[in-house]
Amino acid sequence: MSRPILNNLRYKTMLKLSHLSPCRGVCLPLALLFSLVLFGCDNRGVDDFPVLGEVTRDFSFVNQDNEVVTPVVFQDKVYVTDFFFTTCPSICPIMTRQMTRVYEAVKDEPGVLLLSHTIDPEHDTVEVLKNYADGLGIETAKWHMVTGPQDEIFAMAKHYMLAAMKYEEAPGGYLHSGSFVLVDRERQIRGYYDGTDSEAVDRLIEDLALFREP
Amino acid sequence: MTNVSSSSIVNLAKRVAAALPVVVAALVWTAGGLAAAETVPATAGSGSALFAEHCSSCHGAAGEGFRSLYPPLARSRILADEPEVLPCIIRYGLRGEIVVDGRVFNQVMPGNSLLSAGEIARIISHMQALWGDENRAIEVETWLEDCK
Repeated sequence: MSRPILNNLRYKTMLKLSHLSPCRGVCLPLALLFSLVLFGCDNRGVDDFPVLGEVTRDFSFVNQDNEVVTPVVFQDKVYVTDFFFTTCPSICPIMTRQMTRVYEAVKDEPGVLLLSHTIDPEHDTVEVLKNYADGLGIETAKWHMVTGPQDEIFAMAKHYMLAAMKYEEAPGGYLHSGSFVLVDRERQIRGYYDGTDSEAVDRLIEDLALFREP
Repeated sequence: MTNVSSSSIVNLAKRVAAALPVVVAALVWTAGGLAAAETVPATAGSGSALFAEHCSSCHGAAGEGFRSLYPPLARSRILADEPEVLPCIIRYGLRGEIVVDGRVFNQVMPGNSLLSAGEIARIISHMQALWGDENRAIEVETWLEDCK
């Protein structure tokens, strides 16, 4: 019994729709949907990114050019930071590849800097970091690779809410997060991105374009 | 006769129709299988799997290297000229300046001390098949005796 009624209803609905112009009946909802899809993402602003933490801890490290690096270097800058070591056989080479993509995307953007901390300062001296940076062909002023006291570096990782620790059984002797952290001009953490995943890093590069605008 | 014959045709058509999803499924399965064969991960412990696990994150999945940081393996003369040094490099690492494909590299390569001689042999064999001479004899245990 219910089927004919339903069919009848459908028929009536179709009839009613057929009386409407195509743009009112079909195109309009479609246009609205397309607008949402096309412009919804483009309208994203920095306010859509929750504040995930604040970088309040002070630090003083030394970069590959033997320059002292403190929060002053990042004043009024957006920066991306991570933790690695040069002889890491597991995820670091992939992170380095991905961070190099970020570097290439922002190297002409004066408002964005990169900061990589070694978690193996005993091996990764200024000279080793310099050699590593030269191998990548990067500019120090844009991508600071820093070393310092290991407990300070571990404390800084913890402050960014990233794991970094000695672990004999891990390849290379350390366990550490592969995340890239996006920090805004107000030293607020606005994003975590998997530094071993090229799609996550694509998103980071897109998000940086939003945050770099004054 | 005509009736029998037409009912046979109808039955045949029904059977074909009934079998159609199976045939389509079989074709899809075969196509999927063929597609999967290209992307299926290498067998655990094979030369390609070991290469993917221990070598490719630095040297690249295609042995292409990365900038002046990680040297390419695909154009390394070592595969052709002196493969006997490879087991020691793979197991104990390498430091100091080297020239690969006309470019200077000077980084520390960490060793892979947990790899067995058999695993090292499979990695070398994999690289030789891709970029060197796959008929070259590989004597890893002997070559490992000469590590400095």
